[in-house]
Amino acid sequence: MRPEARGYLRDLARRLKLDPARKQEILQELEGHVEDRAQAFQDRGFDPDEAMHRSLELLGQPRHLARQYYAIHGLASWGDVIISILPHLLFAALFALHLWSVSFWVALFLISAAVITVTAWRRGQPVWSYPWLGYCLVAPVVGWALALRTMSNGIWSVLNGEPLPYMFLAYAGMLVYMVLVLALLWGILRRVVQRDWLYASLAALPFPFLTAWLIYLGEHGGYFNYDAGRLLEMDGATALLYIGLAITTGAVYRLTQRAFRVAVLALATPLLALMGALSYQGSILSGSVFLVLTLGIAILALPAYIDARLSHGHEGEHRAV
Amino acid sequence: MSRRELLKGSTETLLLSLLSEEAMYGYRIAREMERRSNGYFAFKEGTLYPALHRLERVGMLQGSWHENAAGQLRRYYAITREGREALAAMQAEWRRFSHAVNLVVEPEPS
Repeated sequence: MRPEARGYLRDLARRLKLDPARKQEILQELEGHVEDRAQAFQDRGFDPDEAMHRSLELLGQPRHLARQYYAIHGLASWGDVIISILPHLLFAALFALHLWSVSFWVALFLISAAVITVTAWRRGQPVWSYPWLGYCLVAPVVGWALALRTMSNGIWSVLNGEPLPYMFLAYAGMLVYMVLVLALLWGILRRVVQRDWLYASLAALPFPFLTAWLIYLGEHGGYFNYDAGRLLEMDGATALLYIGLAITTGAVYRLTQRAFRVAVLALATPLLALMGALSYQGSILSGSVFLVLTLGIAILALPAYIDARLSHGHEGEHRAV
Repeated sequence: MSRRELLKGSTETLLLSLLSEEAMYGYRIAREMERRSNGYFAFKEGTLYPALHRLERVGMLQGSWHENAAGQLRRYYAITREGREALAAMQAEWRRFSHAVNLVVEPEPS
């Protein structure tokens, strides 16, 4: 293949935010097309470079082509939409029915999310699997945050000349766990972003809301010793937030234009994060509100940033070749 | 109305009509369309492939990989039963439409 065609198809590949098999098929089909068209131009007397240039011109801008393919193949079926919003609705139900305080139901939900995600990923990452992925990662992320807090307490004790609250080996184990979880998260994030950073944002959507709730839970005695009356009052509002996430997810999956999808996510995420944080803290001046809101925006922006960095990196590699 | 706008509204009918005769791959479709219309229908190729994919997505076409006469692997599109039914409806509508247009644009001298 001539360098200009290679560059064109590489540019198109970067812009095609579709599943890898579909993407490969589209690229292979277009590669065959430009070869045929360029050959026809050569038969009419054009030199090979000019022939390829003209055949690529006839195909149009990769940006426009990618947009058209996305509108056709990016749209999820209603079946996919229902499965994708299900984890948010089930999580909302845990709050609406006050079941979040029963460890059995929480564990059942998280284990189900993990089993469904792993099964789905082994079958080629269907589009509906990303919201499930988010809940599948809740346990390792919460574990990571708890390990970080325990480590910080340990370091603080040492700095104050006090003995470590736990055995040294426990801290070493926690450190290994934290590194492994970070490596796992980075691997998953990278893989999802390579397909479409929007899916990574959708997977991470519950985290700002979960953080707001965990902060609130911590302020009311923690999971095993909470102030039931005050906390259960908030269950209705919490359930509504997760229903809001389900609606946002469904809207993103059903829109055909990528720009509209980004716009829905960009508007809904900070808005819902603000609503959630205000429900728990009651004041916009609260530090927790600021933290949760920032986290909400970061959740949306981080995968897009990684996508841009990865694309930039690949371009650099190709230039070097 | 420009030729491009006319073509845009008829793309599906033209593609299904062509593919109702035999399965073809994208480049051959573009070439065949140009040849049969004496160069009138020059598909912008960037719209041809998305149109084929759209028809495949709604079940009117079925795509599959085969070798062409030169032994190169190409994606051939074949019309499905749903595609033939849709084409029959499109052709009937087209006949009514073109007849009505002719009655207005080129009225028979009274």
